[in-house]
Amino acid sequence: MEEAAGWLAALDAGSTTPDAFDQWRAGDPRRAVAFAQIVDALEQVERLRAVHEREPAPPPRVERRQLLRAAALAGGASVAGAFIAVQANARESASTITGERRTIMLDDGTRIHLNTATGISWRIDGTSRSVWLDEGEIRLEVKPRPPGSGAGHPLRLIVAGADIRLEAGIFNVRRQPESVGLLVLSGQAALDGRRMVDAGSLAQVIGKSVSVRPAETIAIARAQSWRNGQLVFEGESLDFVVAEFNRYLDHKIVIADPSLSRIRLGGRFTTTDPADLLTALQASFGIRSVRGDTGAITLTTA
Amino acid sequence: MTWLRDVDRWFIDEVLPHRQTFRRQAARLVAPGDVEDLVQEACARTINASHHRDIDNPRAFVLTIMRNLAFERHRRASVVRFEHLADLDAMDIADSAPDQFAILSGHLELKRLIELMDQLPPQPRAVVKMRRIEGMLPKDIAVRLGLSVSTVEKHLAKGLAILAHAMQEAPVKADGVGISRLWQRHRQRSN
Repeated sequence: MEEAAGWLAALDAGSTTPDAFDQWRAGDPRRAVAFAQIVDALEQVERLRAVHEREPAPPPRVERRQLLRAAALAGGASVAGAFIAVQANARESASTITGERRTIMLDDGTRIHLNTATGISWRIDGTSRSVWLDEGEIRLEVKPRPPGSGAGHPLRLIVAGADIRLEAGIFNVRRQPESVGLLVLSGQAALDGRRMVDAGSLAQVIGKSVSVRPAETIAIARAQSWRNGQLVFEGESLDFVVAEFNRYLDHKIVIADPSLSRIRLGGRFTTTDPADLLTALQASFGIRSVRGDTGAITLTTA
Repeated sequence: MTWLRDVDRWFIDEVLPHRQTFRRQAARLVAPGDVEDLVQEACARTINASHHRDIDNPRAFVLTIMRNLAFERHRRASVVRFEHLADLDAMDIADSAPDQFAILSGHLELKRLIELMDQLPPQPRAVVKMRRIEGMLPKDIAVRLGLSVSTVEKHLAKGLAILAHAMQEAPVKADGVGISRLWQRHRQRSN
């Protein structure tokens, strides 16, 4: 029964294919019976919807989307034969699009906040837990391992070839084209098995070279505030500010006049809307912003 | 639900509503520890039947299979309990179980269903509720609860397994029992 329920949930979540399921069901008629019993339970539960919907604001129904997804599944089912073998070693993954943030809870209790345009994957099994940062920026809140399951086993974080071991603590990790920045907010990390990084330190990995130094206050403030949708600046150049902002925007800001790049500014802005920034630029520096046909915002001197 | 075959639909609608009868009869045929297995085996053979649409009386069909299976088991067993043998003889296909003429919907009483839901562990209950009652997609539930999609999947599976188990035991509601009782009386009179 548990097995049948697992298959139904997997079909429902789209994490398996109808072909793989058919193979399983065809293996033993008892499985078909158990599956029918699960579907029956499911349909009975759905009758509670009538009761539930008497409450205010009934939620939208999604049957159509389910149908569409089922159709998509059926269409892509030809590779199902190899599926079950692959599943055991498969990583799970999560990602955000530009401007999106989300929080993931791993099975071991570790919480991962994903900043804009970020992709991660992870795998947790009996003896190890590993997270890969494929792009973007994350905040990891690593839980200690529960007693009896290899206590004190660090979480392994792999970013662009850097192999980092994280003990329980809070870490901000950002992957950039040329480098990886690891900021330890609390706890301790070990880089490539030897270099220790303590709380309050920032490690920069560029290729094979690693530098560890105390993090600036502003770097810590920045790492703490993106989770709340805020960007903090303290006298950085407009170049830097615009680059940071653009990470969150579909329609990027472009500095048309190179002389503007050297302007330095500070403040706290919301990442979802550049309007405050543009207003501040206009008011303080007389910088005009023009939205082009493509939606991009161009900054020019007035 | 595209992953249900015609036979599965038929099985859910025509066979599962009689699960109480099957269990009751099985309890008369075999030792208590073998009841569940006998019912499952008979159901497995039924769902595997190639001609399910031709089966006029699915309930009698399953009961017959059960009787034959029980007979086989008794023949192979070294020790046979006599009361079981007696029941094998007495058990007519058109049996005299009290719900013979009841039209069963297979539905549990809503109250009982709500009780079963309330007995689920908190996370499976929340996931089952969001998925099946509120109609949220697994990935949206994952975001709402701050869980991974695979964890949501596990909670859904766990919740449904517990519910399905409990439902095998729970008595089903007999719809339209009044009418069938009348018909039964009518039949007895005309005999």
